[in-house]
Amino acid sequence: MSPIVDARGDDELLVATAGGDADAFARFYERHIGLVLSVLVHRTGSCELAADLAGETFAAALLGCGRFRPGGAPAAAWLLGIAQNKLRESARRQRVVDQARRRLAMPILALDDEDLLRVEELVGDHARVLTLLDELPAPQRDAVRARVLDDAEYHELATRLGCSEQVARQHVSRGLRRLRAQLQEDA
Amino acid sequence: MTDYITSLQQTLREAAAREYPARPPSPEPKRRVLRKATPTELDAQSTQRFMPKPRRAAPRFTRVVRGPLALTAAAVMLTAAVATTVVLLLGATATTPAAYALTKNSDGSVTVSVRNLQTAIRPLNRRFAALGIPERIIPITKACTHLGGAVYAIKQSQLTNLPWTFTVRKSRKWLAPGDTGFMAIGRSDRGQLLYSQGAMKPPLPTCFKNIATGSTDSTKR
Repeated sequence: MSPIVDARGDDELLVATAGGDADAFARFYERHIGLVLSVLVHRTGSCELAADLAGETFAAALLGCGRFRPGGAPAAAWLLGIAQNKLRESARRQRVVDQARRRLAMPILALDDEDLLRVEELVGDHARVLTLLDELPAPQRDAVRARVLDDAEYHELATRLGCSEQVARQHVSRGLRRLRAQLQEDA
Repeated sequence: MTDYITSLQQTLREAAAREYPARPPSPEPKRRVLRKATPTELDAQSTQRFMPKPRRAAPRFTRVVRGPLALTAAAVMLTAAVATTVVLLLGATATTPAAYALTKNSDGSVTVSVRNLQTAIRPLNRRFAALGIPERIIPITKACTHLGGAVYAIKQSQLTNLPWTFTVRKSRKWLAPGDTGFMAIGRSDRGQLLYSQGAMKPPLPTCFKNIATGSTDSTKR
């Protein structure tokens, strides 16, 4: 895959996709496949399962991009929300769902060993962030995970953590600051 | 050889092209061509503007509106009536309390309060499925033919009245592997609320028969 730089933002790419620009979705995929894979590998512990779920996630995102409202929640959070739903749905059904791919008449692709290595390679950078996330103090880790990965609202977050909305905001902000500092140190 | 990641990108691009076909470019908007008016024409226009307008004949009260104008008037009246009805309906919906309320608790459990049995069950079951809660609410009805089958009732009771409030935990140790928990609820012939909790292997029935007052299930495991 040769990455092509596209100056358009995620919102613009999704709007362009719904407007008939198929390449815009390919760019959106290229930009976020690593993130989606890393979250799914982190959650499932399996590159194969994560790759399969990522395919379904992007297919569902493609079906839903007409309903995406630009200017609201970031497109990456929206995408990760879809990935979470697919993961939950698959866990419930005890198999990876392929509903969206079937609706789009997409073939289910098989993975070989080289593909799995490629997945690991893509996951690499993001995996470091997720590892660092796990190392955060529990309230910050839970707050960042819920806010960034699950796209939870602050009031929902406050209920989950059993604290006020303001404290929940502080946990997220401190957690993100700490993550940023760690990554800068690494670099 | 194309790898999985690139192949997936390619299939997504093809699917995007099928799902959202490229729209033909919109035609160039027609521009109004402004013709330069000659001095004579301008003079004529300005003269006409300041000339007294001819008097119109006084409208007759018995005049009947016919043709397209009559249709337009009827359409306007109909639209107004429909709009009023929609506003009234929406207003009524806005003031009606929700059929159920669901609160997510910090320990992962959810607390549900059902206010309307008829309308709450279906959306609540969808919500449970979305949240990954292996629980179903099944209505107990008189007309249902399903008696229970391989159901074991954990608890049977008569509720006092609505709202019916309960808490569901995602992990329930009493649930045997492969079983789905259910809560059956309905009204007895005498109007009492009946409630039964249990579990069974899928597929779960869509309803249970109300076979006796206070009882929902004859087969216990």
